[in-house]
Amino acid sequence: MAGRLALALAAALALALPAHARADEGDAADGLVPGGPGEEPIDPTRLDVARLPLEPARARGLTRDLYDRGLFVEAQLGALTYVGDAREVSHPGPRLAIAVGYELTRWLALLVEAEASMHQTHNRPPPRRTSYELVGGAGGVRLSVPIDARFALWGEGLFGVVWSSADVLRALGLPDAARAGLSYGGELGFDYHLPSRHHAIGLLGGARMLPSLAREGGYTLAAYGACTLHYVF
Amino acid sequence: MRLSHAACLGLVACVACLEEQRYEAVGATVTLAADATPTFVVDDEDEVYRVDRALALHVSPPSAATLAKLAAEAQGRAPPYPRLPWVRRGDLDLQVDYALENQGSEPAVAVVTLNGVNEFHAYAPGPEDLHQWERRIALAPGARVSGTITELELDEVAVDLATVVNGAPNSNLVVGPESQSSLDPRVAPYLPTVVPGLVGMRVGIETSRAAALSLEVSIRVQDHGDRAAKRGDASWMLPEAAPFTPIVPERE
Repeated sequence: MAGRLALALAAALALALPAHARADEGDAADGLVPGGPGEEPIDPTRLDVARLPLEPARARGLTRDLYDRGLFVEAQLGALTYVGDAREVSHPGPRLAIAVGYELTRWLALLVEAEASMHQTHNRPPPRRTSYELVGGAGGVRLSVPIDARFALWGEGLFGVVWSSADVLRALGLPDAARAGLSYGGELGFDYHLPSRHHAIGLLGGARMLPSLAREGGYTLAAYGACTLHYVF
Repeated sequence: MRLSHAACLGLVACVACLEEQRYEAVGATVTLAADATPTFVVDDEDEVYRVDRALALHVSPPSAATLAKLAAEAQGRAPPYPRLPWVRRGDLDLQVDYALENQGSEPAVAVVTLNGVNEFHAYAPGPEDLHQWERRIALAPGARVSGTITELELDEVAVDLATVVNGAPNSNLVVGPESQSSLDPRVAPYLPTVVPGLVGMRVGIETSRAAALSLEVSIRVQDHGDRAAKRGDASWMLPEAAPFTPIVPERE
């Protein structure tokens, strides 16, 4: 009995070994070792995108369409100086502006802004040298020209009102400075999009005619520059 | 909610920053000619050259009913005026900026002077009296010196004028530059309960030798009591204030 059982086991081993050897030969031909590392075909139904191979941004096709578009707010911080009549009695001063707008398309936006700047007078006393604020509001249209996915140049036209709180400018020979006056001009700047859907930073330069800060027959031009922080909701 | 509170605070701060202030009498000038004749001769030999000019502030006119009410309120208080003042101390904060220029070829020493005018009285010192505010300045030929008479100093001018009019026995003690009459216990009994604010002033130059001098001034007004006339509106045409000659005790 025991001899017949041993014979049956030997026969089974003799049949099984060649089949196992054939399977090993097939795996080696695919370059895979069972249980070892290997390349796995991409399964498009899986959400585990971290397993996808890394690609450069250009290869992924970064476009401005990835950024949010619509309602935005923009802060501007810089300096303003004058050219013309107001320059004779005023020093340059810091300027702050807040703009709110809406991007109708990637290249066209409407906006309104509130702005303020502070200046010191320079004149032969009296009156003693002092400081004053220039505040204003304006509305305009901004046209953007994208250079690439991150950079864009833009230009805008602005039309609004401006007003000086103190009437020291009137005392210095600018009779209409304390009244609300028109302002009109434009700005040029560029945006750089941060790696975010919402944020961009940039620089701008602008010039605005201020007829109310001019003497009769004269002119005053406000020239300014600013750093910008742009947020799209 | 926090955002709305912050917005409200910002708005209040902006309004506070934009408080009404204006400049008046800009470019007003007082000149003394090099060949002027003395205004006074003291002790038969000391010459005093004095020139000044009146500067009136643009004050909004009170209604007749308001004036009647002010007159009624004065009953029983016995102020040294026929009625309570329309412009009171603190309604208008004033600051005077000045520049004195020696236009001659000789050095000069001059005194810039200022005397207050309220609705009822104008301080009118004699040749040997102190002015309500004065500053002695030495000027080289062609030199120009500028300065400021501050709000505190002009507040003191208003208080001093009300005090001397109210019977203080020594005007020079009250208006002296070292005297703070609103703090001086010797003067306190003569301080009226209601002090009129200044509605004008006389600024000028005083020297002991004739010289070609020019004084240019401007007044900055901050209106805390809604008493300044709006630009373009008519200002209050007050009757000329009665000149008040200082009372000085006789020297023994």
